[in-house]
Amino acid sequence: MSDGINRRDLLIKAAALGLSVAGIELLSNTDLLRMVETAEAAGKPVVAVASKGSVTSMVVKVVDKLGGMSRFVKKGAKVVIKPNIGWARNPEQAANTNPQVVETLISLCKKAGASSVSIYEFACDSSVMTFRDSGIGEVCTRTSVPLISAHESKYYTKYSVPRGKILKQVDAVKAIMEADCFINVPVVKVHGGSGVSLAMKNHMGSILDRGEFHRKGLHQCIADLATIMRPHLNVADASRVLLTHGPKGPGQVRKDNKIFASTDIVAIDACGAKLLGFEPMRVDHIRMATEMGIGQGDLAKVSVIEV
Amino acid sequence: MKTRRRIVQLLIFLLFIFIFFKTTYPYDERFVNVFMRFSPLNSVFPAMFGSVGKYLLISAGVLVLTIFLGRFFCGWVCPMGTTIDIGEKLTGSSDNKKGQKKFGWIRYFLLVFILASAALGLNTAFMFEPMSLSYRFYTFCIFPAADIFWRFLQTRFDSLSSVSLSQIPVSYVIGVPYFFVFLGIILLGRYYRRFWCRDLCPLGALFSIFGRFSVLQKKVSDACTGCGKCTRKCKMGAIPEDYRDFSVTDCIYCFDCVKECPVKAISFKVDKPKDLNSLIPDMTKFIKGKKHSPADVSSGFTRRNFLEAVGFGAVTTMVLKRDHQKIHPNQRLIRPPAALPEEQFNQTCIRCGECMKTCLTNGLQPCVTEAGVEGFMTPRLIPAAGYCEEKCEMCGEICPTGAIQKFGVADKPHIKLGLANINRSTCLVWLREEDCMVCDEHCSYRAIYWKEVQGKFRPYVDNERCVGCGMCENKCPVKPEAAITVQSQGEHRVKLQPGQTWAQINPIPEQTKSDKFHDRPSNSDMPYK
Repeated sequence: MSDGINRRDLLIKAAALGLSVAGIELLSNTDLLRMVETAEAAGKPVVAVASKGSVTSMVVKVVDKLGGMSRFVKKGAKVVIKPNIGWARNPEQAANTNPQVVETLISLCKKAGASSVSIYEFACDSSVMTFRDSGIGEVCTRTSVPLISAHESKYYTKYSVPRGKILKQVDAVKAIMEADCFINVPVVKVHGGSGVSLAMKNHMGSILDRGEFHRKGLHQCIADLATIMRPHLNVADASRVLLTHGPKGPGQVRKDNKIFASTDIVAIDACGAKLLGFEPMRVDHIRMATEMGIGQGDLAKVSVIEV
Repeated sequence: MKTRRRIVQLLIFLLFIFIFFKTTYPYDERFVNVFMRFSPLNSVFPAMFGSVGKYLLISAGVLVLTIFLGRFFCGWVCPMGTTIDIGEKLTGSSDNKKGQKKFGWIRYFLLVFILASAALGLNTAFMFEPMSLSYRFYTFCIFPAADIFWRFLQTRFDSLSSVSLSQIPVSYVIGVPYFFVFLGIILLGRYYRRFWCRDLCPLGALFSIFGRFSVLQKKVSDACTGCGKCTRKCKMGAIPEDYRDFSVTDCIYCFDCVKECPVKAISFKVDKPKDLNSLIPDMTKFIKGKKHSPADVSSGFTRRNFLEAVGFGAVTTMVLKRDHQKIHPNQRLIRPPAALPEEQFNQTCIRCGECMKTCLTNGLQPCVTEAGVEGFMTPRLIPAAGYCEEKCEMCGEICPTGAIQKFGVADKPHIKLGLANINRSTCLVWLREEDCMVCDEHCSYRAIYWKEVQGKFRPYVDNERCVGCGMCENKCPVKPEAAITVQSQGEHRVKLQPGQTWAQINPIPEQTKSDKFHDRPSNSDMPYK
């Protein structure tokens, strides 16, 4: 398999990781952090975006820009990562989150002192094939992180959605809702129903009954769900983006080599939508979420910091 | 001897159970269906109706062994026999009594019936063939129960979570009635033990005929006190009132009698077959219509029974063998991918249930009435239960008779099981103009396209790309009857000739409708068309 790891790749990756961490520390992170903090204090959400270097180094850079993983993962925290692993597609087909992004985040969490890291996904295709083909199963085996296919009701608890307009209650993955740190790791791609499939849309892989969303009104339900499912950190993978036949593909794939990170789920969605060529506020669920005050979807009011 | 037999029997049974649970995705055991191939009755059908002779090889080997060793298979190997032994331990059983009525002729009747109807082109073996009968029992009844139990254990013990018996909780449509039928077979042991094996099993009848000249002979020494314990205890009723004799066509060499005998007077020795000289007289009597079967003096199978069985087979065949599509115009009968043409499929399929056991999504279910009597318990895809997974090829790999032909993952886009149909009066987009596209997003073959009708983009099915896998029907949010359903029209039911590929049979054009209208603008601006 092309995305299998060999010693050489591992060494290069390890070196890149080490160098980038060292490089950022040398640059003195304090200035950047001050920038982020001032922006956030002024009510302006921050989206960090990296577009140079390897996927691993970009992830490290954007997370560090937001204050480093230790800002989100305290010592002994239980971390849940939710990538998008919906489909039995290869990493090259860009329908799932890039396994390298997930792997880097796992190692960052462990380094920050997480007591446990686990990954949940309610895949659309058979989870055996989805986890295998996406390459994330292999990552989890290698890093001994549990990869849990949340297709049984025992993983779910009913939560009410007090601010929901049409979604009043929802069965969501308990481990995600109760995690000390919930990291949402979507892939940037187009989606036939919701226009774009990004961080908010990725939450649909953590609920039991997706059909309900389609019956009741997809966009409003996505926005409603985002009121109760609040990731501590969002990292959007745009290393490859799927431009046509989303969400499953196979379709046209563009190598954008970008990684976004933000604490604001709407702002990161706005950046992703922009990248895909959409006017963010014209994507219904981004506009609705902005109006509901979940985050800021108007890019004019977001500070996008390039790394 | 009995202990040794028990150990071997148990080991073979454990192998059967091991292989049973190994019959799952991913496929890594080349011998998964070996138990099906042991049975000559299973091999006869692919050999007659398919083109594959290799299925005969293993079962021919079993028959050759039977010629020398009699019905050893029934006592040592057969999973049905072992299951009955275990079942009788649990439900209780009775010893043989004096003057009990015996029904040994039924198994010969069934064998002749099966062979007669097979010769005329109808497969009836599956009803009584013990290999597939027991495998179905394990698939339909034991597998779901074991799965539920295992999942319960997993909630208690975290260390078990790495191994699961199935991907999703499984169930089968006729699991419960089938359980009671099988329980009935086991409960017959309360009349006398192994009732099935003595009186009903057609494979046992075949082995009786071939095992008549077994060289393993029971010997009784002069120490015999004539207590009659061996007669009462014999599982198969193979020891007559004259304790010194034994019926070679019934004995399964379980060696219970050796162990039971209080004075250790019984032993088994390799010797000249005792019936060697009686074959011709027996045959003559049988042909003349006397109460003797050609193989088995005690069974009471007569010439009359033989003719009845042939007649019964012929009539059954005439009644049931007809143009299936005309009699059962069932659009919802979706066969597994690469299934043979319907008539040939019903003939070749031995209903072992291996494809249903292995189906990743639990979508393959046994037919009850959907395919008529002649298709009873053949596999059918119920998309509401599970769809045909794009990257799975298990049913074709595992089918022991080639009723489902082997295919590869790359062939999947070319093998049509049917065609999806959108019901516009329930579809959320057509009816309520919702922004639903679940069928489109799940479709593995890009077979849904969108066209603008009355100001709204609405879904259509691309008949050139759709293979009828049923994923859209399975995932459609409209419940309980999905707004997109698969029907069998346009299914590919051909027997692949050597050298032929599915891509040749069903090439997909470069440009189909879904390429022309592939992505719909959603309610926001879709920049890529």
